[in-house]
Order: sequence, then C-alpha cells, then structure tokens
Amino acid sequence: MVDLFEIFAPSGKVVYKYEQQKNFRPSIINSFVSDILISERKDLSADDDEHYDSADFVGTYTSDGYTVKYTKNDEPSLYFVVVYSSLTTYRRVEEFLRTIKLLYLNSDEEKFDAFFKLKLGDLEVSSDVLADDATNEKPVLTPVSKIDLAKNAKKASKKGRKWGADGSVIENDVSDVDLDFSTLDIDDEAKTDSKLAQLVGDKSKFGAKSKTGEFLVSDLSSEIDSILANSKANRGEETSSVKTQPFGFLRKYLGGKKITREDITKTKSLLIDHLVKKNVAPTVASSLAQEVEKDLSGATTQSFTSVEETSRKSLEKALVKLLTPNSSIDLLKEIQKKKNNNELPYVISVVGVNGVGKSTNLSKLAFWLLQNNYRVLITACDTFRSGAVEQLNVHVNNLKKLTDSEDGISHVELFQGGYGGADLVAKIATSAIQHAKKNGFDIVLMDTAGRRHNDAHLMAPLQSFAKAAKPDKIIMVGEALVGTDSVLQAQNFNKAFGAGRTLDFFIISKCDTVGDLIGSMVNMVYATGIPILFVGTGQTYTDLRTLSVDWAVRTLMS
Amino acid sequence: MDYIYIITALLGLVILLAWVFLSGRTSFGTDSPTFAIVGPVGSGKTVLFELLTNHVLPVGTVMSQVPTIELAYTVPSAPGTFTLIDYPGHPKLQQLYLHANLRDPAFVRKLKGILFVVDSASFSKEYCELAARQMLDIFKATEGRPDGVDMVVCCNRCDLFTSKKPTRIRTMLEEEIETQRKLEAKSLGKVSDGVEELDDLIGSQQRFSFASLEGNVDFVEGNCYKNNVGKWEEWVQERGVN
Repeated sequence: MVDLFEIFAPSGKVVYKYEQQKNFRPSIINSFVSDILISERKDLSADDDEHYDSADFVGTYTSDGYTVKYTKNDEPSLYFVVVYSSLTTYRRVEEFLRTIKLLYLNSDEEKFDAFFKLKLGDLEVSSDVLADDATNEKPVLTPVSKIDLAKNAKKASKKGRKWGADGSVIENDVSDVDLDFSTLDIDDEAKTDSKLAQLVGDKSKFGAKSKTGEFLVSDLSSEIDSILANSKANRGEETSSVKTQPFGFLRKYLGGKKITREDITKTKSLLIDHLVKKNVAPTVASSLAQEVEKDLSGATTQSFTSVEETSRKSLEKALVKLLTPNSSIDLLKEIQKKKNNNELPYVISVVGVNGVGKSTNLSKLAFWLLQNNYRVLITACDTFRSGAVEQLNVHVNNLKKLTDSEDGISHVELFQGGYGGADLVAKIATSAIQHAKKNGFDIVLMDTAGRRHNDAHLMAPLQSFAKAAKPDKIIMVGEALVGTDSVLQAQNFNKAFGAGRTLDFFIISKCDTVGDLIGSMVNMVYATGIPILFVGTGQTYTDLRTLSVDWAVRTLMS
Repeated sequence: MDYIYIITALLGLVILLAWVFLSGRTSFGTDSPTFAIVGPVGSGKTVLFELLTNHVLPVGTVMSQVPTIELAYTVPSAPGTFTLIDYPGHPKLQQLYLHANLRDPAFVRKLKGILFVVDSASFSKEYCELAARQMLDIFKATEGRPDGVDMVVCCNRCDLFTSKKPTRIRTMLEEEIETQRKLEAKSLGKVSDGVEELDDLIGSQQRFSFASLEGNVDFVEGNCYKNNVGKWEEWVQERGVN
C-alpha cells in the first residue's frame, strides 16, 4: 500500500499529493529531504550512484520503517517521491515513478489525476507482502481489473426479489421474469411499473456506467501510451538538434550562457586541482566537483560571469553546506543542563591517532572549562605509552597554578591508575567517574592512548571503553597536517564504538602549521558527516577556537 | 563609406551588450524594500509565503531546499512593489542563504521587516532553544543598523488547544535568549584572520529584553494552515505604508 505520493519543488511547495490517510507523518519526508537532498549523504548501498544525472535515476531512502523512492526532474525542477511501508515491496516502483514523471510533465492537472489513480492501481496489484506466511497461504493476487469487478456486480444486480403472501422469498432474474401483480391494486400497479422502470433505468445506467468505465480505462491507458511514446521521441529530437544563437560565442564572456557538459568537464578538473592543492583528498575533491556538476548542469551563467566563476560560486556553496553542522552544539549549555538535573559528572573523552595532540587539546579544553568555574577531573586512560601519565600530570600542575589560585570554585585534579593492559582502561574509567561523583567534580575529561586507525587489534578496546565510561561526548582529535589518510582515520574511529555510538565532533589540531591548506577538515567531515567544533591554533592553553565556517570556506577558496 | 560599417558594427555591439546585460539583470536582487520570512523547520514559512503572494493555500509543503523570492510582492495601499523572500529553515541552508545575505550591509539596509514564524503548538523547551538561537543570530546582524529592523513573531497554529500563547512565547524566548547570550560570552572565540571582537549584543551587561532592542518586536497570533493570516498581513501593510 502506497502511503504517500508527492510531487514537490525545491521551494518546498507540493504541487501534487496523494495520501492513503490524512496527515501522514511529515517527519519521513522531511528527514528524506534533509538527509538526501540537503546534506547529500546518499545511501551508500545504492550502487546506481553514477547514473544520478540521468533522467531515469530512481533513488532509495529508508527511515523509520518506511521506504522512500524518489526521482527528480530538472526543468522545471521537481521531485517525485513515493513512500510506503518497508514491509511491502513493489516490483515495478522504479518504472512507476518514471512513467508518472513523464505523464505529469506531459498532461494537465485533471488528466494527470486520472492517470495517477490508474497507474497506482496497477502498482498496488504488483505488491508482495514480505510476511512470508501470508504470501504462501493466500493465492497469488491476480490483477483484478475494474471491469471484472463491474461485471460481477452487474450479474448480482440482475437478481430480482419477490415476496409471496406467506412471506417466502422468491428470487429470479429481473430481465426474463413475468411479474405477477395480481395481488396489487391497479392504481399501485402503475406506480410499481414506474418503480420497475426506475429499477431497470438504474440497471441500464449501471450497465452503461460499466461500459463507459471500460471505455474510460482503455481510453486513458491508450492516452498514456501515446504520451509516453511522444515524450520519448521528443527526447531523441532534443539531443539531436543543437541550438545555435547569433553571437552565441560572446555569451562565454558576457554571461547568460547556457552551461554545457563540455564547459563543466573543463572547469571540473580545475576545481579538483584547486581542492587537492588545499590538501583535500582526491576522492573527496572529485565527489565535491561532481556535486558542482550536478548543480550547474542546465543552468545559465549570470551577467559578466564566466563559467569558471559560476562553478567556483557553486563549490563555495557546497563547502558551506558541508561544513555547517546540522544542529548547533553548545557544550556549556549541555553541561549546565546536566548540572540542573543533578546528573553530573559530564564525561568527555578524547580519541585519535598517535601524536595528533590529544593531551594538549584536552588540556586546552580543561583550561576553558576551568575559566568558566567548573571542577574538572582529568583522567589518564592512556595506560600504554610510558610517560603518558607523567605528561598529563605536568599539564594538570600548570592548570592548577593558572586557575586554582584565582577563586575557590574551579579546581582541577588528575586521576590515574598507572600502566597496564586494555582491561585496566575500562576499570580506570569507571572508578574515575565514581571518584568524580563522590568529590563533586562537574566534568571528567578522559585522555586515551593514541592508536593506529587501521589496526583492528588496537581499535577493539575502544568499544569496551565506550561501554564502561558512557561518555557524553566522544571527540576525535585530527591533525590539519595529515592528508588523504584523514578520510580513513575519521571513518574508522567513527565505526570503532560499536552500533549506536559514533563520534560527536572533531577538534582539528595544528591549524597554525598549515597556513591555508586546511583540506583535511573537509576530508573528515565529508567522510563521516560529523561536524568540527574546535580548531587548535597554537601552543598555549588559550589557542583553542570554535570553527567559523565562513573563515574555513574563504581560506579554502583563496 | 567605410566608417558607416564601423559605426553600424559598433552600434550593433552596444545594443547587444545592453541586451545581454539587461536580460541577465532579472536574476539579480533589486533594491526594492524587502520582507524576509524566517524561522525553524516546519513552522509554516512556505505556506505563509504562498498565502501572501498567491493567496491560495498550497496542497502541502515539505522542507524547503532553496529560498523562494517574489520580486513583485505588492502590499495593499502601499506604493510600489516589495521583495518577499522565504528562507529555508534547515541550519545548513540558513547559513548558506539567510546569513550570507545578512552579512551584506546593503541587504540589511533594505530590510523592511522580518516575519519570524514559530509553531506555537509544538513550542517546547527544545523548540524554544532552537528559535532563540536563530533569533539571536539574526539580531546580531540587524541590531547593527541604527534603527534596527522590525520583526513580527508569527505565532502559528495559535488557535490550537495545546498551543502556547504569544505572551508566554515572548517570555520564554526572552529568558532563553538571555541564557544563550551569557553562554556565548563564555564560549571560545571563533577562528578568524583578523582581531575578533565581542558583539555588542552578546557582551552587554544589561539583561536581554525585546523592548530594549532597536527594532520593534511584535508577537502576533494566526494560523496559516487555516488561511488565518490577516493580522500578519496587517503588520506587513503597516511597515509597507511607512
């Protein structure tokens, strides 16, 4: 059963809507728009990704037990979306969407409504219910056309009913009956006659109805066929005839030029080169360029702007969209909320590859939190590398000297459990939280050992650590220095915490060392869809900043 | 005789240039006074836009992906035409379109009024936080103008039994903006090329209130799903006439 079918424009206006029930949950469609069309986080299982440009592309999205199938049209820009329960499968839903698209574009509103109902009927007949018992027991649903139904109804309506004097019922066909009206008055006879005439009138009308119904159906489907055939022929013509305008060559410099495929491929390689120079991984750069391609195909350039300029604008847009988080993260607000609910301590843990600056950025975070009058417990969960605990101790001593003397509220302490194996980490984590609860610490910051992201043996303990510590926030520290590898780093750490737990955000460290080559920021966000909250910009405790999307995009485009 | 050809060619070129320039011109924003429709996702912005421009309730709406711009929006008994823009509510797209525009002083200067649509029927604590965040970001841009920009908070679906009333929404938002303002003052600065300075609105010692803003903020009820937008239209009309 199709729950919802909608045709809508990018502006958000729905131009055609079919609902099985009134007020079908709008959250399904909205999360589809947000995830697929805005964030462009495509369903990775879809292998027909390459055909996205083609007019026949049909994509799939699942959310909350519903399957969304969609296709789009460029001119006018419209999305055709069908939503149904994931328990049902339709064998020909792609074909259905393509046909409906052509029909909508080539017919007027009233006609389309009739077309749609007809096609929907065809589609629903083809459904398979996944619940296996049901399909086995039930006879296979044969397409029961409306005409058959009408015929049955017609047969049934032929039966006439007569009541005898004793109350017995005699049933026989109306058409070939000799009605016995002897028991009735003559005056009444005329009335009954007219009544009978009425009945027959109804019957003939019904018959006619079924006839016109049949006629209507065949008429519609032949019309559909002709529309489909026409549009296919048109499409062939369009590609064969290339429009040339007088002085068309000037458009290239003056703007108002229709951007062609060749223009895009030319600028596409320029864009990719530019991005790669900024330390963006080649795979990420080419997919970003592909988005630009999608955005530009069929567009026209503005006055006095070249194709290059237009594509740069488009890339800028894509980068802003990518780097802006879906929802704002405010650490202080979340900590305050937990404090008000008496659920402290707030646990933050930091993960990352060796030497990216986990401990340093943890100390920077601690300094900021101490400035805001919180009691912070720093926990040394790196039980592996020698000197790791001592290193943190140096930071804690510095922080103590810097902040403790100022007022009585903020306080920092180190919690340590020495060195040992992976089991020790989880044990230290749980006892640190216990300690924090007992001694009224607001925030627990957990430093973990650096680990290589492609070593399963080293990554496995993270899952048990996340289970034991249940951190409110897991932060991955990534270097701005690292290049292509940042994609895999981010992906592997994001997967390391088991089902249902991902990273919460990134801190990108060492941004002061790369100048404007901040491409690894783009890599990490693109690979995971997780936002960057802070960037490390120097050696001192105050060199931690929130990311400004504006600044990042400007730097990347310069 | 030769120079006749040259003059003809030059004339032709000038006409061509003018034509290309003018034909491309329509896609640029004009300088006409502008009204902006903003607000969180799903508050009814697109429906309101359709009602104000086409006066027809649309079949339905989904999350917008691009801003919709009406360049020839007319307000009853107001001279000239206005620009009406419906901005998408998705955070990524707000950054992309609304805030890109608000950073441009010329755009802020031509802003006549902002219609901030909220859904009063689902105005929970979380919703309030979201709306307050968006409002604060808008105020940062508009309060830079000497007289500020007027705003009407369109309390949509206000006739529903479960909805919050405009006065309640006002106090909730005032409190929430105050907390967020204080938190922002405490948070880390943004990374940038130049010297950063704390926004006046954020750094102020005074408690936040709508009354203390440069622009007027009104809270007006209505329901655009039931074509009940008369009071909001009146507000727009007042701003349009002045």
